[in-house]
Amino acid sequence: MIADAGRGRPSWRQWLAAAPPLVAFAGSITVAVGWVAGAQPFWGLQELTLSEAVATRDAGEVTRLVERERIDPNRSWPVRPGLLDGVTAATPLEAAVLARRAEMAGLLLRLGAVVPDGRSRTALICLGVGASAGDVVALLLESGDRSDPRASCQPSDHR
Amino acid sequence: MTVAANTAVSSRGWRVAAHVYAVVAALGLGYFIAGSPLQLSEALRNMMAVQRTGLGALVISQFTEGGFLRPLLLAQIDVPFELAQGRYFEVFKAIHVAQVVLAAVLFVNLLPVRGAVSALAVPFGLALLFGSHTFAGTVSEGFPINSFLTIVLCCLAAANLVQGASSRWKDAAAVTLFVYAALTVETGLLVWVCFVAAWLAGFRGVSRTALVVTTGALAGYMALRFGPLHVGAPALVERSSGYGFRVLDPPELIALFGDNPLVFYAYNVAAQILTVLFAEPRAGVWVLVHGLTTGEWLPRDVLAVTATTGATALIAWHVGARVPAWRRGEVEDGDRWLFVALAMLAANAVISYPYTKNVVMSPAGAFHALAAAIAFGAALSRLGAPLRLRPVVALGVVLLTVLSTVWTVRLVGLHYRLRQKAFLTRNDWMFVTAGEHVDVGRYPAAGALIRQLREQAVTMRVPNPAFDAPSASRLFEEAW
Repeated sequence: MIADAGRGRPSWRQWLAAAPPLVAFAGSITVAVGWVAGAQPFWGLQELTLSEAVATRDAGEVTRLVERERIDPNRSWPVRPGLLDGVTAATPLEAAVLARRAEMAGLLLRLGAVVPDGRSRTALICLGVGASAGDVVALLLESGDRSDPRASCQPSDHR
Repeated sequence: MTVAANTAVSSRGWRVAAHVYAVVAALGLGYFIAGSPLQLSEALRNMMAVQRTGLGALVISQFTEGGFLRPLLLAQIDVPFELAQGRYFEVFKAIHVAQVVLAAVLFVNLLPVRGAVSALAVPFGLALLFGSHTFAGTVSEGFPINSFLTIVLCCLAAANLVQGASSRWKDAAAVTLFVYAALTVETGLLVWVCFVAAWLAGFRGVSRTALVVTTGALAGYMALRFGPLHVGAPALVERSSGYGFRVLDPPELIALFGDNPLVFYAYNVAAQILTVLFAEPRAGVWVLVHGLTTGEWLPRDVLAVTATTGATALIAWHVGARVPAWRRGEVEDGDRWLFVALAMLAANAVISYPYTKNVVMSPAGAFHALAAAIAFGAALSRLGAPLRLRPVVALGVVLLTVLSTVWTVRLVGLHYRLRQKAFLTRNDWMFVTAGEHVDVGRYPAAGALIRQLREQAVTMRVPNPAFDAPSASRLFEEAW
C-alpha cells in the first residue's frame, strides 16, 4: 500500500526526484541564518556613483546619495563601463540625458541639480538631441533663460 | 520499545522535521519581503484612511461601499497601525512574514507525513505553494496587510480544523473563522466551501451543528449584501480585466460586454480555473499563446505552463491510480483533499467572476499545491516499490525530477522578483511629495506619515537589479 511505503528509507531514485527543492532549501537556510545573524546573504549592494545610479534608474540611491551622503549633484562622477555607451565620467544630468530618463532628470532638479548656463546648457541640450532624448530635452528647455539652442547643435553632438 | 512505538516516534520526528523545513523556507521568503519598503499606492491609501478614521466609524463605513463588502479589511490594518506607535514598517513587515510562516506550517500540517519518503514530498509541496503565480501576489504586495494572504491562511486554517475529531473549540473556531474571512474580502466565503466540501468528503473535525451555523451565517451575509445594504456585486466599471491577448479597461469592457456581461463572466470563470491548472491564461490574458503566435515567447512563460500542467497531470495520474481503491471503498485523507481541492477550485473561480486576477485564485492555488504534493508523495512511494518494469520506473524518475526542477526554478524566481519589486517600490517613494496625496494643511498627521515612510525608503538600501544577470528576467516570472 502506498501509505505504508512512505515510511521506508528513501532509495536513490526517490532522493533524486525530490532533490531540486532541497538544493534551493540550502539557500533558504543561508538566508534565514544570515538574516538572524544580521548578515546580508543574496542581497549584495553595489556601491554606485551618483551618475551610475542615474544611469541605472536607481531613484532611491540617487536620493540617498544627495540627501544623506551630501553628494554634489552638479559635478562629474565616474561611470563604470557598459552603463552609458563608453562614457567613463558624466554629471548626473548628463547621465540622465544619455540614459534618456526624463523622470531622473526631474528628480535631480528637485534634489538641487542645476542646469548650467550659456554654452554648457547648449551642450547639455545638444547632447540630448544627439541621444534622441526628447523628453529630457523638453525638461531642460524649461530651465535657465528658456532659450532653444537646438538649431545650433552640431552633428558631432550626436553620439 | 515495540516496533509500533518506534514507527510512531519516527513518524513524529519526520513531521517535526517537515514543519521545521516549512518555517525555514518561509523565513527565507520572509527575508525578501522584509527587504522591501512598504508599498506606496494601496498601503499608503489604507494607512491614511485608518489614521483619519476611528475603528468603529471605519467598520461601519465599509458596510455601505458599493460593489464590495469588506468591513474588516481596514479594521485589520487599523489595530496594528495604532499599536505600532510609529514603527509601521517593522510591525507590518513582521505581520507579513508571520503570515507566510503560518501559511507554510498550516500547509505542511495537511500533508500525510508518515516517514522519510512521504516527508520528501514536503519540499515539493512548498515549492508549489510558494512558486505558483497565484501565490506571488500575496508576497509581492502589501496593503500593508495582504488580504489575499489572509484568506489563504483562513482557508488553510479551515482545512486544519476539519481534520480529526470534532470538538467545541473547533466548532467555535470554525464559525469565527468564517465570519472573519467573509467580512475581510469576498473570497473569504471559500472558508465555508472548504468546510462543506470537507464534510462531504468525509472529514468530521467540524461538527454538523457548526456547519449549519456557518451556512446560516452565509445566508445572512447574502441577505444583507443583496438586501438592506444594497452592496450588490462589482460592476464592469470597477476594474480592468484580461480578455484574450490583452487587458481591457472598464470602458472597453462596457463597450464589449455592457449588453451581455454573462459572456465575460463565463470567460473569467473558465480563465481562472485554467490558470490554476495550466498557468494559462494569466489574469485572463493568453500570454504564452500570444508569444508563440508572434514569435516573442519567453522561457518563463513556457516554464510556468510546463510546471503547472505537469503538476495537474500528476494529480490526474494519482486520481486514476486511486480509482480501484475507491471502488473497494478504501478512502484516505489524501483522497479527501483531492475532492476538497476540486471544490475549492470551482468555487474560487465562480467567486472571482467579475474580473480576472492571479492572486484572487491563491486559495485554489494552495489546494492545487496540496493535491499535487499528495500525488507527488504517492508517486515517490511507487518509485521505491520493487517494480519489474524498469523503463517505467526510469521514466517516472525522470518526469518527477524534471517536475520538481521546474518548480524549484519558479520558487527561486519568486525570490528574484521580490528583489526587483523592492527596487521598484523604493523608487516609487522618491517621486512622492506629501501634498500630492493629501491636503497636508488639513491633515498634517497624514503629511507626517508620508514623510516618515519616504524617509524610511530613502534610508533602506535595496540592491539594484541592473547588476543582476540580465537573462534572469526572461526565466523568472513577474510577481505582480
